[in-house]
Amino acid sequence: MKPLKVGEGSSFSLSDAIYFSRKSLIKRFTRSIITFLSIALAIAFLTVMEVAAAIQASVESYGWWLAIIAILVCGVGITNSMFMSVNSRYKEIGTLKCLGAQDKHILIIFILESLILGFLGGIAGTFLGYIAAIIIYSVDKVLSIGAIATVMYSFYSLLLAVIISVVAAIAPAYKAAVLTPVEALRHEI
Amino acid sequence: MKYEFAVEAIDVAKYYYLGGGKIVIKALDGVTVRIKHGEYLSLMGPSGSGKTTFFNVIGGLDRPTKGKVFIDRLDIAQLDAYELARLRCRRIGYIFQTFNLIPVLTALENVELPMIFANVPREERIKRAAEMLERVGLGDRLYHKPTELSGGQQQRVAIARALVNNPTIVLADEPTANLDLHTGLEIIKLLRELNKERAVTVLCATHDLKMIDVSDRIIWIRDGKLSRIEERSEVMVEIKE
Repeated sequence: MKPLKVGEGSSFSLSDAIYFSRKSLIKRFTRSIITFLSIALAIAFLTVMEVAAAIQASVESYGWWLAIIAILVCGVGITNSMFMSVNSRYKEIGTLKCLGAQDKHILIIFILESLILGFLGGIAGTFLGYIAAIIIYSVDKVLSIGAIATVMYSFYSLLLAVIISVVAAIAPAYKAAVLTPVEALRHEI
Repeated sequence: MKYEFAVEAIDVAKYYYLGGGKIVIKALDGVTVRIKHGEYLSLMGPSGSGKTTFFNVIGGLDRPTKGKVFIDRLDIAQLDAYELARLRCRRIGYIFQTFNLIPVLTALENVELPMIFANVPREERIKRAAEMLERVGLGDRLYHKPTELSGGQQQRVAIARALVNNPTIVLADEPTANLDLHTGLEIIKLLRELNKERAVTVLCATHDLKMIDVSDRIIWIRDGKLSRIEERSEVMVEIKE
């Protein structure tokens, strides 16, 4: 007996995933804000260090260490918060799988949630960093580093924010993706 | 000619091994059931009898330890993870005891969801989802979130969601357990109407005796074994609201 075809393809697009992730972030607003702020602060710190290095030519190395540690702590915070998000959404994950979601769809949804926060936090953090640098030094000094350097430093900060948020979300998102529907649905909260 | 059976479970068993394999729990032990297209079946049995395990195995959510399950002549054991996801999406509709709507999405978006996974174009998706919600009596609740709907309304959305991809079989696991008597009866009647109208097969796990009245056949499960299968006419139960 020849097996019948189950049917091909799925139109779960990136924009569907973004929509879903965005709604989920708004639903858990407090958690999102806390994660967002932690990213913004760490990135602001890093941006100040970048600007300071450009103005003074040399900065104390412990300043860099502090910025790196701030970003690592922020990454651990994101991982923790994403694990909590996965745990509180077992039933939702199970339901999505029953409706035909594949592992990769679940993975994308959770990675995107973190990525959106990382991106927004990165933008806010870069702005905050420049404002802080202006307060610490002066408008003239900060302007003296030039437009190209400003764009470059902003890009570095934003890139790091996005990378850290995605890397931090891999473990929780993977945990969610490989859940079997039975495991996910059995979990009562 | 269409093959007679929508679902065949042949000698299905599910064992759980505890204490490093020393203790064997036989949640299901050799159950054989053949379900015809368009049938409405009730799966009866006390809690812990293996109803939910059977339901999970039939629904492609769990793999049996022994035996075979065919849905539309597809052997579930032969499918990989991707094909199984496609099967769940297109051939099976699920209705849960706790409704399980996605909390962040509106009623319309919840019903759209299985069609997104089934690659239905956007305009058709919205049209079909709205029609389906209209059919279950929620035409004026399309843009409400699950939290803005009553239990009965949420279960109606779940029914619309389960049926919208025109599945071969709808599996309902205690769909009335979280509803009051009157709402529960309405949900059962709606399921029966849709079963007749769309010729979709319905398998309903329950210990709610109200279900018997609308069923074509009743399967009784006890201690993981099939204790009997009865036609509706053979069962003498009078149901009153």
